[in-house]
Amino acid sequence: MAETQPTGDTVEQEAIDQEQVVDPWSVSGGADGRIDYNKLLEQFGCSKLTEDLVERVERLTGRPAHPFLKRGIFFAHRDLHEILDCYEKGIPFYLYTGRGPSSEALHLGHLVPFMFTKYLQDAFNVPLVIQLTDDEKSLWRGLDIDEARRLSRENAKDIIACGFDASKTFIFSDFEFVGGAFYRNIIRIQRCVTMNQVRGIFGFTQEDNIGKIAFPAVQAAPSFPDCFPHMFGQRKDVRCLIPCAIDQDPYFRMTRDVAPRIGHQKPALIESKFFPALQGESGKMSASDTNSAIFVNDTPSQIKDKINKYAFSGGGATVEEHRARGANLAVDVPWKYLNFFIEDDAKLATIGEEYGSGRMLTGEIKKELITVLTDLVSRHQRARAQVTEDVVDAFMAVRPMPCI
Amino acid sequence: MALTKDDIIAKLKDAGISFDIYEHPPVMTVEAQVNALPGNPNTVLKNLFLKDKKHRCYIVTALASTKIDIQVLSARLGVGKSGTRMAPEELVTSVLQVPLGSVTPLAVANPEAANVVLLLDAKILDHEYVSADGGVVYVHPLVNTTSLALTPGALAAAIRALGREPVFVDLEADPKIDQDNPPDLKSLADVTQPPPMALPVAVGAPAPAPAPAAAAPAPSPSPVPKAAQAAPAKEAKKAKAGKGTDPRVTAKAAVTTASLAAVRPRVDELLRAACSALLGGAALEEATSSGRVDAYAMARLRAEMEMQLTSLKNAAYAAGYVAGKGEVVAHAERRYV
Repeated sequence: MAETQPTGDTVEQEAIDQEQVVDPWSVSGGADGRIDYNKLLEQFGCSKLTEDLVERVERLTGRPAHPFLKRGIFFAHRDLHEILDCYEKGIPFYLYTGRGPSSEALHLGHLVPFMFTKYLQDAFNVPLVIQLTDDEKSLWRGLDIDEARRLSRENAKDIIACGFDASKTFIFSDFEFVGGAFYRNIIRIQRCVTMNQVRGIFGFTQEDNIGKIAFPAVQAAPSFPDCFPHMFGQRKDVRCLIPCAIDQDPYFRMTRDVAPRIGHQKPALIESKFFPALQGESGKMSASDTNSAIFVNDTPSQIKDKINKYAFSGGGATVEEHRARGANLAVDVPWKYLNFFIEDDAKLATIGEEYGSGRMLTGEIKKELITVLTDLVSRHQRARAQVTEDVVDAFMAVRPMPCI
Repeated sequence: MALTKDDIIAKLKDAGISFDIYEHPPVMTVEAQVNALPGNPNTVLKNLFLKDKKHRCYIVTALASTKIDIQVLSARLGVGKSGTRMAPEELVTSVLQVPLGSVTPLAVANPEAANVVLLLDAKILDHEYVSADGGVVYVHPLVNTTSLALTPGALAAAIRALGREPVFVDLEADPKIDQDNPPDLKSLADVTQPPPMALPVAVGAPAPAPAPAAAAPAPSPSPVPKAAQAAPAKEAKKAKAGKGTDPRVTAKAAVTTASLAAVRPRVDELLRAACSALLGGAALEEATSSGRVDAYAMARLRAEMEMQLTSLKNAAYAAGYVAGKGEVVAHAERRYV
């Protein structure tokens, strides 16, 4: 297989010794720029999401598993089998996910956990809470507080456009909602975690502001149902399942450690790999680099342009080489993107064969991807256009939601 | 939240009900209560808390001397003579929100007891048993360390002040029940629903999972509407998680609020109708399998429909939310009075 140098990247000898770093604020790959997910699993101590678990999900929900599950994009978990046991026995659970509203520019990578969460909500018919950590962004990025609150609402529109069920979904901004039962749980959690522990988990130092040091409890708290009395009353027996990217694992390791000490159930997790940047799998996409990602506001011609010009190709350097050796699917970004967004398993498999063998050219696979992404993004834009301020208000209202 | 003794006393005072208050050590039986009160009156009321086989709950308040045959009462309520029993103790605290030994007709003041039927002994109004000349009866104000003495008229007024129309019943009657003589108290039972906390643990319902360091989970204060319960119960049944019949899901409850708001089944319906109309009667599955419609185009159409219906649903939900808010604000402002 052709081993092309990543465009614009230089792999230096020193980098071979480079360790991969994954934490909630930065992700970087190892020597070859790639993330070793198996190593990450081991390092973090979560479990691999095996095929039989996927089959079990299909059986219990009575519908095909989401492509993200079938194709190992959501690849790791903690206690997922317990959640499935609960579901079978009729013990209720809810979903919890979130977003740090740092900018208005969401890209496809941001949508992935929400698309998956929507599938989980529909398949299991469960309530969902979505936390917008505007406080976090103000603490870390020094974002103006009112701007952070505004961004929460703007991001909420994109989230709502993913198709969540208004009657079972509560979206909240930390700045608006923290208080009452939620705050009481934050304090219970904070009491159980020392400065040493957060330093160990998150790498805080003496120079970090006290808001940062205390913040992990704010992201941990929504794992506990009694934070949401309008949804669950004072119940503590409702389990929580958290779909998130694997870099959020540290927050929830801490949460799971604290849970039994404060009389709560441990939240379960279902974790995804990172969505590759257009330039290749060397880390997370960046909202500030417009050519690193497909953004939800992109026009069809922008999408076409970005895929054609910037999507890293694993194809041969020349047509002849490509026909002879085939494409390196392991590094090809259009192939990886299709793995995310093509629903038809058979079609994906065919493309894999044709492109991998060299019969299909880079231009053709890119064309395939452009069609899929254009449809997806355009539908999202139209859905978002229909999310009015009233709709946002309704999703964010602390209203009685008898959901279980 | 449950009312306290002071809350209920204040409520009654505000409503202009007159009564005397007697404090005493806790009393768990009528006998103990009689002995604890000055003059050892025989007009202390006894209270039974009953639950029928349909999980409906009843407070039966009677003179201590009135003989109550639960089987006869049960038949009169329309659930057959073995259809009613003393409610399990935990329901006293979870449904009536009073401690054990404190069952009282005044417990209907608690919102959690909204579905509990209150049956009062007609003999309370009978002057042979309670003197017309200032004769009083005794009830607990939600705790068994106090008794309130009220005239029967005041008791009836108190019940009204708590939002209920008092129903007095001849508890010793044993009417014949047959084809021509339906159970006489059935209408009282049928207007009510089981209080949520009285329902058995069933499909879709909470099962208290013991956490190692935790106390028992607190009961949910808000009654869950039937509709919202029906949908999860049905989904879980599909997943073969049946734990016996769920009393909340009746065979007739096919259409519920939750089922009407489900997008996927509507998308299926629409696609079927579209295929039929546009492809000359073709079935949905045939359209792609026969190659008449490209599979990707069909998938895109489906996704489009889901998106549009979900947007419509959210817009409708938001409009309902605005209307609901408006109703509350208008009520507070007395705008439409």
